[in-house]
Amino acid sequence: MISYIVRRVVMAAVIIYVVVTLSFFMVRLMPGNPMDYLESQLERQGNLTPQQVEEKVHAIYGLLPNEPVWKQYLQYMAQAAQGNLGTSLNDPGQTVVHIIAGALPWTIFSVGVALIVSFVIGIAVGTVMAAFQDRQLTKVATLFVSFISAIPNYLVAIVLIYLLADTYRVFPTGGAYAADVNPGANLPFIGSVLVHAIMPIASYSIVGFGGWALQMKGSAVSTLGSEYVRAAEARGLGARRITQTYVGRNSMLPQVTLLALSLGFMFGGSVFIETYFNYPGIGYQLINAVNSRDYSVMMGCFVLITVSVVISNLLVDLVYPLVDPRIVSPAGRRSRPGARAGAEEQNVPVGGTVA
Amino acid sequence: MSDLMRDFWRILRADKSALVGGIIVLIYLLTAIFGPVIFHLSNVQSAANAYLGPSVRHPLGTDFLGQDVATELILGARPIMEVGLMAATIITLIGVVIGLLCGYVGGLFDDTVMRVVDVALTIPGLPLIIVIAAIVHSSNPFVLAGILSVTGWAGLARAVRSQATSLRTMDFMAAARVQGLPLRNIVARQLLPNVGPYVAIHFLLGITGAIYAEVGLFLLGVAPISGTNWGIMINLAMSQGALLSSRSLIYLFAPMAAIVILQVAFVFFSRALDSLFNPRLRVQ
Amino acid sequence: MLGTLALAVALLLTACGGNQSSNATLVMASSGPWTQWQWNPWTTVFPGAAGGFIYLPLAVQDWPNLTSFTPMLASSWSVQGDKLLVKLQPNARWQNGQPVTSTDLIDTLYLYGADGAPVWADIASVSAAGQKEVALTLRKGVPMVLLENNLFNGIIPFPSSVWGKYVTPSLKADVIAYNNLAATDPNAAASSAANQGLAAVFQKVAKVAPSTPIGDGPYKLAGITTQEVRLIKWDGYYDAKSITIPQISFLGLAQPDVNAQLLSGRADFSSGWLYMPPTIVQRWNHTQDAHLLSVPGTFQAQVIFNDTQYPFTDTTVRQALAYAFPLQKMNQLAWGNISPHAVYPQIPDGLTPKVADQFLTQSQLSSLNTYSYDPSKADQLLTSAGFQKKNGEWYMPNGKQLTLALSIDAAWTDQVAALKVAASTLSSIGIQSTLTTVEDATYVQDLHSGNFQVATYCCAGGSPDPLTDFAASPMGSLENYTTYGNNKGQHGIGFGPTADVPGLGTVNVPETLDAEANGVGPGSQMKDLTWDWAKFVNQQVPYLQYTNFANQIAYSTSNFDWPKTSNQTWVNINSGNYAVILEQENGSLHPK
Repeated sequence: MISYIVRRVVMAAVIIYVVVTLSFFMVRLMPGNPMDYLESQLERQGNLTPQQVEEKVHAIYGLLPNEPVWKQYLQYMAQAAQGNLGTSLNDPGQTVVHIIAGALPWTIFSVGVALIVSFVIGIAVGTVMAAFQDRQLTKVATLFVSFISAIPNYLVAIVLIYLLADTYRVFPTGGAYAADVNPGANLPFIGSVLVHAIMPIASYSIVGFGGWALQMKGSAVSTLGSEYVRAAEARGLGARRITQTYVGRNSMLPQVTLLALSLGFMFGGSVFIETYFNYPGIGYQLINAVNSRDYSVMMGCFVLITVSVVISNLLVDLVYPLVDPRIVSPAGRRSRPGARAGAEEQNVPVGGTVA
Repeated sequence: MSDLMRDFWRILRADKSALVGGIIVLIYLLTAIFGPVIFHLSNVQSAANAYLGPSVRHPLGTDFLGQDVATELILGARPIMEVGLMAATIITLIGVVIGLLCGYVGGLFDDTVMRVVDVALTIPGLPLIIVIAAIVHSSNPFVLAGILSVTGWAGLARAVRSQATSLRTMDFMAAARVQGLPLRNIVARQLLPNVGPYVAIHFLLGITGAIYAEVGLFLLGVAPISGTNWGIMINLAMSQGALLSSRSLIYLFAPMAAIVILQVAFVFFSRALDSLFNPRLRVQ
Repeated sequence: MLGTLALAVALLLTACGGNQSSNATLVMASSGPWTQWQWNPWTTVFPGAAGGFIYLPLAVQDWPNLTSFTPMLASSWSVQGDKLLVKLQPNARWQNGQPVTSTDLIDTLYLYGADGAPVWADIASVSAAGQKEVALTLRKGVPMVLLENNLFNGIIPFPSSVWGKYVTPSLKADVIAYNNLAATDPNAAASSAANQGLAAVFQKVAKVAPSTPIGDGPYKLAGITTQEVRLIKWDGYYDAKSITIPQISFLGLAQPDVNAQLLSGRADFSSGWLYMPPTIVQRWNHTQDAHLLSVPGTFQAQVIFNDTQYPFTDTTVRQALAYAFPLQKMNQLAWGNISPHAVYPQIPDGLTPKVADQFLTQSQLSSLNTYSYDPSKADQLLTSAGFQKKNGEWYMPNGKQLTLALSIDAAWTDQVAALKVAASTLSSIGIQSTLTTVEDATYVQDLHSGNFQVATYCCAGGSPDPLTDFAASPMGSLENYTTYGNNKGQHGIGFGPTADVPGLGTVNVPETLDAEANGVGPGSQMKDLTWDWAKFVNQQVPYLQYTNFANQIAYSTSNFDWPKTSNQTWVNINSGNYAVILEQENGSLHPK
C-alpha cells in the first residue's frame, strides 16, 4: 500500500518537474518578443509620439538578462520551486501566481461542476439505456447521444451564445459575475456567479454527458451478461438488489478512473469555452497571454493547468484503492493499465485522443 | 482478409448509422480530393451580392464579400481533411511503433518509455498545442499536423503495448519463436493483425481529435489565416458579426454544420470498426 | 430538457440576484476587453474607463481644431511671455476629500517626465504660481500651440497623496537634465545617467498597485470585473449638479460582442473604434431609437511595400500597384456606404481629408493624383517598367512571375475583409496575390525585420497636425530606421531613409520629419511643408494610403436623451468618455 502511494506521488512530482522544465525552454525558444507587442498596442492608441512609445516600452521592461541559459534555468527552477513564476510582462506589478490564483478558482468551479453534472446525467442515461437496451427508443437515444457527444464544445458555445444571450437575452454574454455585486458571501454575488456560470457549464455538459452515457451503457451491458450476475439471477436475487450491488457498482468502477482523465480533457477545453464566454478562468488567461505574448503568464497558465490535472489524477489514484482494494495487490496493479487503456478506446469524446 | 471484408460489409448493413457514417466520410474525402479541381472561387466580389439567401446559383447563399458559401465550403474541406489525416497518421505511426517496441522488447526500455508515455498522457494536449502553435505560428499543413500530434500518440502506444505484451505470452507467439521466425515476421504476421482494431479505431478518433483542435486553433486566431478552410470561415464570420444578423447566419452555420457532420460520421463509422474487431460484439 | 432546466434556474436567479440594470444606468460598450487591470496610469492595463469619468483631463481638444480646447479641470489658461499659466477649477477635490492643487499637477508632470511624455520636449521648467495655478515655461523655439496640444491631450493629473512620494528632488533634477540634453543631443540624452535614473523611477512606479482609484471626476468606482467597470456618481464633484446619470456601466468586450450588446438593447452607447460591418449597420438603423454617426477622424491605414525588395524598389511599379489596388471597392465591401467605420481616400496624399482641407488649397489638392482603380493605367505603367503580360499573368523583366504576398495583422478583422478584396482583384488582373494573416503579437516585428512583401500598416495619424501625422506614418522615425528599441536601425517598414522630397531636396526622411513635427507650429511654414510631403507621398508612393478611419458613434435614445446627430459636440469631442461628461454638463444628455 505504502509503496503504491509513494510510486504515485513520485510519478506526479516527476511529471510536474518535466512540465516546468518544458515551459522554461519553450519561453526561451519564443521568437519575437513581448516588447514589440506592447509597442504596437501603444501606437494604436494613437496619442503618443514614437519616442514616447519607445521609452514607455523600455521603462516597463528594462533589459532582458543576458546570462547563460543553464544559469537562467537553475534560477527559474529554484524560483518555481518556491512558487514564484515571475511577474506579468504586461503588468509588472502583478505576479503570475497572483493572476493565476485569481483565475484558477473559476476554472475549478466551472469545470468541476460541469464534470459532476455530465457524469451524473451520463451515468443515469447510460444505466437507463442499458436496462432497456432492446427498446426502439433506446436505439434512437443512443444515436442522439453519440451525435451530441461528437460536436466540438466551442460550436455548442457559439450556438448557446447566439440563442440564449444575443437573440433571447436570458443569460449575460460573459464574465464570471456582474460588476454591481460585491464579491463575498452574499446572496446577490452567489446568484450572479451562478447565472454567469450556467452557459459555460452547459457547454461542457451538453458535449460531455454523452461520453459517460455511452461508456456506462457499454459497461453495464457487459456486466449484465457476466457470469456472476447470471449466477446472482440464478440464486433468485431481486432485480433491484442485482442492479444496485452487482451491476451498478461493477460497471461504475471503470468510470471513476476515467473521471480523472477527462478532467484533463475538460481543463483543455476550458481554453475555448472560457474565451467565448469571457469567463476569467485559467483558459481565458492562457489565450489572452498567448495573444498578448505575455510569456510569463502564458507558461504559468500552462504549468498550472498541468499541475491541476496531475494532482487530480493523483487524488483519484489515492482514492481508488478505497473503492477497489484489488488495485494495490500486484495482480490488480498489472491489470489496471490495460484496463485503463482499453476503456479509453471506446467513445473517447471528440478531441479525446489529441486534446 | 475477404472474410473480414464480408464481415465488415455485413456489420455496415446491419448498423445503418455506421453505413451512413462511412458514406459521409467517403463523400468528404472525394470532396477534399476533387473539390478544388472542379470548383474555383470567383474573383468577383460586390457589396450588392453580400449575404444573399440560398438560391439555385448559391445553394448556401453568399458571404460578406458576395462570394459563394457552398464553393468556399467545398474548397475548405481539403485543408481540414489534409491536416486531420496527416496528424492521425503521425499519431498512429508513432503510437504503433513505440507500443510494439515496448511490448516486444520489454524490460528497462519498456519501463522508461512508459514513463514518458505517462507524462504525455497527463499533460493536457490542447493547452500544449496552443502554446506550441503560438511559438511556431505557421499555416504549413505539415507543421500544423506535427503540432497536433504532440501528445496524441501516447494513448495508442500504451494500448498497443498492453496488447503486444499479452500476446507475447500467448501460445502462438511461443510457437512462432520456437520455429525461429525473425522479429520482422513476428511483428508483421502475428502482432499487427491482433492490435489492428486498436490502431484502426485510434486512427479514426485521431482524425476527429485533430480536426477539433485544428479548427479550434483557427477560431482562436492562433493559427494564421490564409486561403479558406472551415475554421477560417467561422473565424471570419464571427468577426464580421455574422451571429448578429439572420441574413448572415447561414455563412456561420454552414461550416459549423460541415464540421459537426464530419465528426459525427467519423464516430459512427468507427463504431462499425469496433464491432468488426470486437469478437464478442461480432457474435451478436 | 437541460435547456429548459437551465432557463428556469436562470430566471429564478436573475430574479433574486437583482443584477438587472435599471434604466438610469448608462451602458457604454467599448471594444478592448481586459484580462488584467491596475489602477496605475503608468501601466498598460490602466482601465480605459478611468479617463474622464474618474480622472478629469485638463481640457478637451475641439477636433479638428488645433488651437481650441474646452476647459475641464483647467478652468482657464493664459499666455504670459514664454509662460503658460494654467488655473485649476477652484472647487475641484479628490475623492478622499483633499483639494486638487498645483502640487498634484506638478507631481504628475514629473512622473509623466519619467514616462517620456512629449510635453517635456516643449517646456523648460514647471512651477507653482499659486495654490491652484501652475506656470509652465516654454522651451526656446517651441510654438505655444504644441505645448497646449501635448499638455491638454497628454496629461491627466493624478493625486499626490498616492503618487507624490515617488516625486523626489532627484527625479525632478533628472527630468530637467534629461530633457535639456534631449533637446540638443537625443543620443547623448538616451545614454545619460539622468535617463537611467528616470527609467529606475519609472520601473518602480509601474509596479505600484493602488487598491482603488482616488479620482477627481464626476464618477467613482463601484466595481470592476474582466468585462465591466461599474461607476456611480460622486456627489463631491465640483459640477455634480449637472451630472444627471447616476450610474455608468462601462463594458470592455471583443468587437462582435459590442455590436451584439448594442443590437440586443443592453448597451446604450458606443464610441471609439466601434466597428459595425455593413450588415450590422443596416440592422442597427432598423432598430428602434437607434442612431449612428460616422465622424471623419484623423487615423488612416496604409499599404506598405518592402522597398528593399525588387520590384517594390521601382517607383513606377509602386505607382502601377496604386492603380491596381481597388481602393473604393475595398472600402465599400469592408465598411459599406452608410455611416461607415472607414472611407476610401479620394486622394492618397498621406492626410485625411479633414486635415488636408485645412492645410492645402483646393488647387493643390486637385493637382494630385487620385489613383482611382484603373487596370489599364496599371498595365501601361508595368509595361513601361519592363514587365510583360503573358497568358493574362504579369511577368517581371527577370522572367519570373509577378506575385504578391499580402500580409495583415490577424487582429484587424475589418481590414482583413478589405485586403481579401484587394487580393482577389489583383489576381483577376494578372497579379497573382495571396493574403496571409499574421498574429498581432509578432506582426510589427515581422514587418521591421523585412519579413514581408506587401503589408498593411495601421493606424497612422491621429493628430490634427499634418506634420505629426507624416512623422507617425511608416516613413517616420518610429518605423523607418528607428533609433530606439528592438527594431533599432532596422528598415523593413519605411522608405529611404534619404529621398528627394519636392521642395526640400534630398533629405533624410525620418530625421527631417521628426524635426519638423517637433519644431513647426501652425502657420504658412506648416502649410508649405505639408504640401511638400503630400506631393512626395502622392508621387513617389512610399506607401499607399488605402483607407481613412471614421469614428463610428452608436447610441440609443430608448433610455436617454442625447444631442441630435447634427450636434457639433459629436464632431468636436472624439472621446466617448469625455462626450458623456461634457454633454451632461451642457444639458444635452440626460436620462428620460
